[in-house]
Amino acid sequence: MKITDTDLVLYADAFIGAERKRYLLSAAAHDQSLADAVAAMEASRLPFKAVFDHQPLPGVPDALRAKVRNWSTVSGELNTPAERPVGWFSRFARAVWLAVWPANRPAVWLVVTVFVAYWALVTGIRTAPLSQHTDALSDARQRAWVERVVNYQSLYVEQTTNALEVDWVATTQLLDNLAESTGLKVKVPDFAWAGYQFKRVQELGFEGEPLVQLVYSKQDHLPLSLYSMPVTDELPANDRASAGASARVERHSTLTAADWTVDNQRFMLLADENAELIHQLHARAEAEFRRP
Amino acid sequence: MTITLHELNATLEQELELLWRFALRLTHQPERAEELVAETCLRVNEQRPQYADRRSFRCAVLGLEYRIWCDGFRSRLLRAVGSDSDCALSNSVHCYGSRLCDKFNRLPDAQRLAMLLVYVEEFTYHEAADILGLSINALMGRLAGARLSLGSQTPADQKRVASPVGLHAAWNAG
Repeated sequence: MKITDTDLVLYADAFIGAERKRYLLSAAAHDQSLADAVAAMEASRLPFKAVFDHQPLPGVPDALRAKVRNWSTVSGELNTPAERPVGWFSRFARAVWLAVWPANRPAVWLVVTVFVAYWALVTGIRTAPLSQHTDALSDARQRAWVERVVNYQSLYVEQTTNALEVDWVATTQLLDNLAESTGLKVKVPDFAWAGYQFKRVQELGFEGEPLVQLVYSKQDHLPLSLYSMPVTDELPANDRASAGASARVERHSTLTAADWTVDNQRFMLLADENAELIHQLHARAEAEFRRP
Repeated sequence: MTITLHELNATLEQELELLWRFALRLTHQPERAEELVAETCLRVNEQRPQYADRRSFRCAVLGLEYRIWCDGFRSRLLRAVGSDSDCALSNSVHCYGSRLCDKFNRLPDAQRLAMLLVYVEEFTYHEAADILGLSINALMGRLAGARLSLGSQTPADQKRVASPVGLHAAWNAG
């Protein structure tokens, strides 16, 4: 029988079987190099865990913890089209429809008509306050979207995208599927003039809506991403004014973000670049999206 | 077992300490460790590994972290810090049992990581082999090599110390 490394380790860790141990020690008695190895194994029975447990390592940085937590809330929204949840209103409407359908009586429809007329009257009277309320909600949603996307993007480092190989077939397929299932029209703008090479498209999600991310890489730079999602709520007043026009550009820590809205689609461009280049990238992206 | 993203993220947050510890020991630099953990979390989410229980999840995420380290972070770090730069981690902390730590940290990376996983993080031989992407024989080879180095470096008189605790004290006193 041959003595192997496994035998030596099992011996050192006291997991070796009795018979095998006898064989090992007997062989060591006739072989000096094996005897030295056995002695080294015995000498290496050291309290590694105890020593390393006392090593005062720096704790998980708060920034990292927060980043992962924030990122979890974004990625928690990740949904493939098949998994996309049905909203509560859709479920409610479906339940009502199923309840009403078998009855199919004029009386039911009369009640519904009266209710709808009453609702329209009430909301008509209160149009202004409701509109303001909608704006506030939309603003909050817009801010939440920007914040979450920025947090998610901040996890990307150069290494995240360097190893990626562009798969144009998969890219085209995903974008076609999205256009078909959600109406989201996304193209891949060419940012090579700015040094950014397209790497990958992936479908994320935000509050049950599809969120598409196009990622680009550039040597010695953080990756650039272009995000897009449909506008499902009413745009806030300040966004209605600028819809389709210039982008709003803001600096968020190490990233500069440009966000704009065109044809009921929100876009956000994020990169570690100055505002001027971000404006140029935005212009190029918008031109690409407007191209028939 | 199919897991939801919510479960995946919750489990990932629970394992953040482990990921952080392993990243620190891979990179020796808190800044790099932070990048490595963030990158690992991102990939975990994108790849959404399936797992049978928490232990197999830990192996999967540590294996992923190790592969990310091997695929690029290591070379980038070496370029960034140069060959003569000592690790920031070693400089910033005082290790209890520092002589043992020093010997341990001077082991080749391949042996050091195998030892860390088995004897410090207490993964089984098979789990450690999975994390490092090795066959069980290759892992045993690394462990045996490491223990030969450590055992051979131990002063002869310390071999007479019977208990591990006594041996540890003698090691530090020496």
